[in-house]
Amino acid sequence: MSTEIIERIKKEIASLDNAVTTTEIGVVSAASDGIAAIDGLRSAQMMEMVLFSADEGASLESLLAASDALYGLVLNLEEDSVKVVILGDASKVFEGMKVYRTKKLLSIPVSEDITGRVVNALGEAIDGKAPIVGKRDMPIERVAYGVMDRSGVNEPIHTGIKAIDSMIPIGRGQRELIIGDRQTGKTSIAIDTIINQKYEPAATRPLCIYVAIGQKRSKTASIMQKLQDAGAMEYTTIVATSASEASPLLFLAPFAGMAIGEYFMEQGKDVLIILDDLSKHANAYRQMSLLLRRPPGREAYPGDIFYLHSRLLERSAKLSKELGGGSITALPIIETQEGDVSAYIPTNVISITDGQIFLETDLFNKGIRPALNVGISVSRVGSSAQTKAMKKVAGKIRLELAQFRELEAFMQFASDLDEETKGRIESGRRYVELLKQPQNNPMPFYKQVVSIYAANAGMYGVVPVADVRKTEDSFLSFIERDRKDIFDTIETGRELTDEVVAKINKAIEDFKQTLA
Amino acid sequence: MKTQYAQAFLEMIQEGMSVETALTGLRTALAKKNYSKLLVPILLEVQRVLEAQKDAKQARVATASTTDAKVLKAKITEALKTLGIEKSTVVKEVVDETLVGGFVATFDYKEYDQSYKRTLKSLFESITK
Repeated sequence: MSTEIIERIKKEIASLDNAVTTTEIGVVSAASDGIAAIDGLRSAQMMEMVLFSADEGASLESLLAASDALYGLVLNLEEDSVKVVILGDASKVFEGMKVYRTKKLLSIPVSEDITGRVVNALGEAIDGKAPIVGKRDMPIERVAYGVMDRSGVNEPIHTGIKAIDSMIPIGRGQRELIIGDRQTGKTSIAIDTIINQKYEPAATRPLCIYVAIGQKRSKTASIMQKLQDAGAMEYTTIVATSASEASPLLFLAPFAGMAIGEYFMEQGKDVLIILDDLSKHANAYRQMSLLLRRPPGREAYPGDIFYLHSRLLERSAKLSKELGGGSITALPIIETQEGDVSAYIPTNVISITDGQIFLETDLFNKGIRPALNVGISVSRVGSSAQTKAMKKVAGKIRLELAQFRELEAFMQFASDLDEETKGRIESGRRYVELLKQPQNNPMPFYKQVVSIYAANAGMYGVVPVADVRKTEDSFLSFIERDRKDIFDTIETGRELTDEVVAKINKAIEDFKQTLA
Repeated sequence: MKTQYAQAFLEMIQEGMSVETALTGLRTALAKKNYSKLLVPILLEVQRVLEAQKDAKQARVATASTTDAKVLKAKITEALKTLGIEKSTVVKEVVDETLVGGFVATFDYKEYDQSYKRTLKSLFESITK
């Protein structure tokens, strides 16, 4: 055994590249608040990783015993110095410390093993399981794919939420903003969307990445538990940064999420990434920029805050067939204050994304959950990705709800309404009731299609408004039990053929008889 | 703010203004803007920059022992040439026992490390990787 070790060491010594070359070094001139100013390092690049070295004066024994290398990230290139953010324990950095270039732009190691894991902003496992062995180093920052590398958004990504899938459809490769005040169910929509992917066929199921930016650790832990309970963790990666971490790590988290997504997208897979939330990301970037002494602009955000989010979200794409046809669908989240969508960061992100899902506190308090304001929520590209089956049934629901919203105002003061108006209001109320959905209970699209078709056919007109959801449940259970072929045909064909329509009509008639 | 004032002060001296004139001007300018409290931090920053410049202009050679310095003289001279020192450059020699053997030469934010410590560390990393 010992001979074997000695032989191995001999071999290592013989092959050791001991050529001495001149190395560029820097010296820490000041360090505070997680930022270090370094003299020297004249050839350092933006976003390059640098290594803080405590080697000078340290014994060989202590060097070999030291476990973690301390890295920094170059973010300011100045005339005689560079400023770096310290990616780790900033208390270990001292004035006069030597700093070496790594000549590597910040990247994270990614492989298939990352799926189902919880990692930090540097791609290191933090779930207590084995370390992740990377296959490829994916750059944190990179230029997004160009126009010719992309194809149009033409495949849907189902959220499992009837109101969204029917009226604000999202396509694979789209960027759809989820915006609303605190406690309006923004994260719930995102989590439901992840859970709903389990209904997709395994071959086309998108891999999900949930990026928690500055969230409470307890919230991230409960989200992980929810995903685990729902069996969604097996296709999900969580990139977690907590509120107690240094702002540079919060700044890096969504970029790390995108880097992981790009690894899978380049293999032709579909990826869904949730960025929860970009308001906290903007705050972290503001904090970091002010510490780096960059000039503050509106609301003390740096001048490149728009560019920060646009270059991040532009990386979400649907690639052309030549490049494998993979996609990254981004669902960024923005928290508004008192419903003010005209604030700086919300308007920025609204203009970058391809639509927004707007959640309102008033609706939430009225018990309409998800508290979606259908009137001002839009999806700019998703409709071309909607399945034919959904498209066929969704047209009417949109029209009915629009008319209901108009008439709702009259309802307040008009006591005598004609029969037609009353009918529309009643129908609208039933649609609103139908679109309510409990948390963590996404509905597969084929069930949504049948349910909305039944509503369009007037099936819920015979039951009181309060009983609409109960009736819907019974109807869907009835089909699941007795006419499962309807679901199967819609799921595989994604179309509402005349044959299927006839079957649903028959099922509605039969179900009505059971109600009587 | 202090950094910018210090930089301006140094640039004026480098451009040929006498230290006294520059200092008087700085004092007056600060007093005019009610920034007199900044004078000490500015001068400390000037001192820091000058020291850093001095360190950068000074070559430093660390060896594990004085004997090593003598034995490795030829190699050290070669290394200093590689780092680009001139005849007028001051070379500061220090003993750092943690190097185990060999030497480390530093000049103008460049380093030439031929110490046993580095070699052994690389060996350890290559074996344990």
